[in-house]
Amino acid sequence: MLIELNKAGRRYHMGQGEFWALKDITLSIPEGQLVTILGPSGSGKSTLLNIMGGIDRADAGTVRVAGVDLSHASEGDLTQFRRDTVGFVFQFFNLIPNLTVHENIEVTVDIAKKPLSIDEVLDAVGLVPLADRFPAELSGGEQQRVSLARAVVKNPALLLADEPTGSLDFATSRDILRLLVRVNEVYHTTIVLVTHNAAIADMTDRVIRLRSGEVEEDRLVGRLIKAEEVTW
Amino acid sequence: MSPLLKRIPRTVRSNQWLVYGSITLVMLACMLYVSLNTLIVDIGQSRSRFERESQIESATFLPQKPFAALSTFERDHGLTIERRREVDAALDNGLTLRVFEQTMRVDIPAITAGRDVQADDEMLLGQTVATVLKVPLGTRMTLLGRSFTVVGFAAVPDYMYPIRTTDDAGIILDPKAFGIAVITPAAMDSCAPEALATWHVRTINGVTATARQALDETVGLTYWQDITTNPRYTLATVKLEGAASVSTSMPLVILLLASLLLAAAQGRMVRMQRAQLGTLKALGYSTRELVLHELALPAVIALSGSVLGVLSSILTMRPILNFMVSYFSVPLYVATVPWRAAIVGIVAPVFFTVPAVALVAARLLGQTPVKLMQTTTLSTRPGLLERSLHLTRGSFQNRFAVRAAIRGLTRLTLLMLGAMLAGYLLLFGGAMRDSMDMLVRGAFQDTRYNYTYVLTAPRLKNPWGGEALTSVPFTTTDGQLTFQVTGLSATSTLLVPRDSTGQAIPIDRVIITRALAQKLDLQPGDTWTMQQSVTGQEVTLTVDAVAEMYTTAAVIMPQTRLNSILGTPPSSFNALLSTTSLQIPAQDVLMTMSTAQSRAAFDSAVEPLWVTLGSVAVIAVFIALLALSIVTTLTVEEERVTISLLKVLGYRAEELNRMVLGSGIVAVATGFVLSIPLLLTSLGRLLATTTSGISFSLPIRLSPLSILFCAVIMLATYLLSLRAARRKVLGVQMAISLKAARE
Ligand SMILES: Nc1ncnc2c1ncn2[C@@H]1O[C@H](COP(=O)(O)OP(=O)(O)O)[C@@H](O)[C@H]1O
Ligand SMILES: [Mg+2]
Repeated sequence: MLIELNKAGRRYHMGQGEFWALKDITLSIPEGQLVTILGPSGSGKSTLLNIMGGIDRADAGTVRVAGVDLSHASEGDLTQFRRDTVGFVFQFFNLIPNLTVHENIEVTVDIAKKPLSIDEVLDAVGLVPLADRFPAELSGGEQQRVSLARAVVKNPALLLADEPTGSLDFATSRDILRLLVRVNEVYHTTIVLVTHNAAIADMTDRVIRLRSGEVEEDRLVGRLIKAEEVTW
Repeated sequence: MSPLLKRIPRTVRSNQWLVYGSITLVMLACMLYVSLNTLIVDIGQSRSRFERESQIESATFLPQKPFAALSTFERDHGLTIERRREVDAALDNGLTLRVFEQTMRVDIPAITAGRDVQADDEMLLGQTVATVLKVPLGTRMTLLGRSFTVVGFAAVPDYMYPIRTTDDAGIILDPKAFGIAVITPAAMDSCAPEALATWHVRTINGVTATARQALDETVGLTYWQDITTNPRYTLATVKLEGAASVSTSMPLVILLLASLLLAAAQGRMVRMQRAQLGTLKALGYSTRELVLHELALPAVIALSGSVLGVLSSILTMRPILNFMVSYFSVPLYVATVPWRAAIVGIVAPVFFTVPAVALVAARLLGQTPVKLMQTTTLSTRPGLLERSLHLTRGSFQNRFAVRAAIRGLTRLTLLMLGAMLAGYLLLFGGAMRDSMDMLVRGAFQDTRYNYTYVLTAPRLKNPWGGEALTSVPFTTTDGQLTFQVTGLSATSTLLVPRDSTGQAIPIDRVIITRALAQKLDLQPGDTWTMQQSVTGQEVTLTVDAVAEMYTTAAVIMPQTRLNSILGTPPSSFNALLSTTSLQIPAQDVLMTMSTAQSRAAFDSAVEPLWVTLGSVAVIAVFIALLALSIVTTLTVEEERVTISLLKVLGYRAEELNRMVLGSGIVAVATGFVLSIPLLLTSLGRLLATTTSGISFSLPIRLSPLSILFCAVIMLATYLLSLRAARRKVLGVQMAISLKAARE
């Protein structure tokens, strides 16, 4: 198993009291699986993804990813883990504004162990002609493709995408989804995809549905449709 | 090379005003620090070498009878003694040169340019006169009816501060009116056989008590002055030491404040990038790597600023040193930037900025990437203070401005610091001006006479007219301070001492001037003991009144009382005051002074002060402008998203400007007001140390007019920096608020 969560929880302090954004999450995800996390806004999807990616810490239970115990890892081990194992695609792209497309991708290549060729990845996401532009000169879909390229180029074992299509129109969204599926097929990358669009779930292997911080449903889907067929 | 490094030049390009402003600020502060240190260290070192090589005297004296065996006496007492003749030569351009004969053993003239005199028609010209009047080498001058060629420029150690007389207004330096010259003894023989001769003694360790006693026993002394109480020496040393204490503290404080300002500005730049830093951390960059990256820009700014500062002080060193040397007649033996000042200048800004930014960055990056990336939600969350204030009253725009102010409390503190720094510098100029003004007015307002004649010997009859008085030098019992004690007739109309309310003080009591009162810490009713300079007679007096005179430390008392203390007849006098020129035979006059001359001398002495104050004010305005702009620019940068959003909602530029930047004026005003007491206390302490041991004291005055003037300059500066920021506010694109959430 690439990811193993055992009774994982995440707590926030709200004024005087506290509130569990995630409660008793137990699940495991094998290598190569393409998983969707579904759920309404505020149900804890992002929190779960962040904990898996080592950019946030669980307050209860254990989280093991690629053999690393994330809940007890030191700050340095967490950094090493993110560097070697995970690629992130954020809803709001989070590109470095004063670096070009090419340079934004270089930023990860620079610290990756066995990166892919930048040109190959740029070609795969169709960004070759835009390589020297700055993020502000790109459309949302183009920026998200850069973000995807930045995550993929380090050839991570785990790719985490938090609502990657959340701020895109649907044609552009389809492009991104198609690319994600291709990455999964070509590089056997385990992908966890957060969305609140149930239709997207149908193109993946498995759906985990969250409600109020708990797993409401966890079932295998088996890629019923292709990315092109996702509707909104 | 890491691709992250490529961000640096681009950050510079998109924040030019901030970056170049910071560099200039550091440069100015650094230059001020290094230049002042250079000045002090170089002139100080030059001075000690000058004293050593020129065999500076320990004292000047006049013997009652000639030495029987001078060289035996010298050998027996370990002394070096040399006689030197001097005579004043008036030139037609209003310049008086005190012509000395060349000496070989004590007070040897140091040649600062050209060569020493060899022939009897050659002369050396004092370097202050040569510099100020721009006299070239080889010039022919007519002195005492003979023509001389200037073959060199010189400095004489007991005329290090070359002033004509050592009391009253004569103390003011005026290189255009008075200077020195040196000719050969043979030339002196032929053109001024009657010249006054003074004797100069150098002891082995500089201590003079035993030498004085031995001389008094052997030849009898009619006059004795230690070099350490001679204003022609002490005014130079005291001024240089005073300057040294100013130049080590004030510019260091400025350098420190500038570095703090830079550190704070850069720290905030780092904080503005929290989302980016969060993303990079999520991508797998370690805190250490990111902190190092964040340090690059501040380090570059601090270093380039300080290196430029040191370089420019190296470039401007010569003219500044030459300017100083035209006031203190000291040969410029050393003219290099002291390495220690250069190192402090270069290192200090980096030393303060880099750790401060590192601290900010490390603390920021201690948070999880998720927290860092939640930038918009976090930074707009109202703080404790803002929530507790429950703003419900007032217009929305005013409430917004108050909110913005509270949110930017640290930013406002920064603005206040900047205003304090600028206010301090500006008010420093103002206070110097007011104090100088006070000094001048104090010196001349009570002066109804135009001429002062000092006679060679006491007289009983006055066939010449004018007002007769007795004036004798006294010293404190420790010999540290020499001052004049004047016996005035009760009917004097030409010299009227006045108290602090402007009332004339009747001359039937012991009156001391404010300068003396401050130096000896005396008040009416206090009793003190002083010593007559020539005879050593001790006199104890009680202070009855203090006259508001700052230019001279002196005692004024009834003439009959002074004469009885001195043991001279009640009507005896040795000086005359007059409104008109008196016809007194030359052999009876020791010295003549005209008030007009003194006044002109004073004015020309104050002239370079204006230049200095003017340039300090310009630098102050510039530093203020930079400090204020840096802070306002930061404000706009930090409030970009809000500004953009409000624009989308339809707010006009004027409204936005007031809402975002309006609160700054309070901080600027607070900083300015705080700088007033800061200045007054620090200046008071400073002047107390710099004028101790000299016969005048500088009153500290800061008039409301000067404060107003400085406040107006401050305000104008602030408004100017707001204009620059305003353009930035106008330039904020509306699309930013729409894209903001993504960054
Ligand atoms: N930093 C935070 N402080 C307090 N509560 C938070 C914080 N981040 C998220 N939450 C809360 O945790 C819950 C889960 O949030 P999140 O995982 O972002 O939901 P989703 O991504 O499913 O919309 C929400 O109720 C949200 O309000
Ligand atoms: Mg979410």
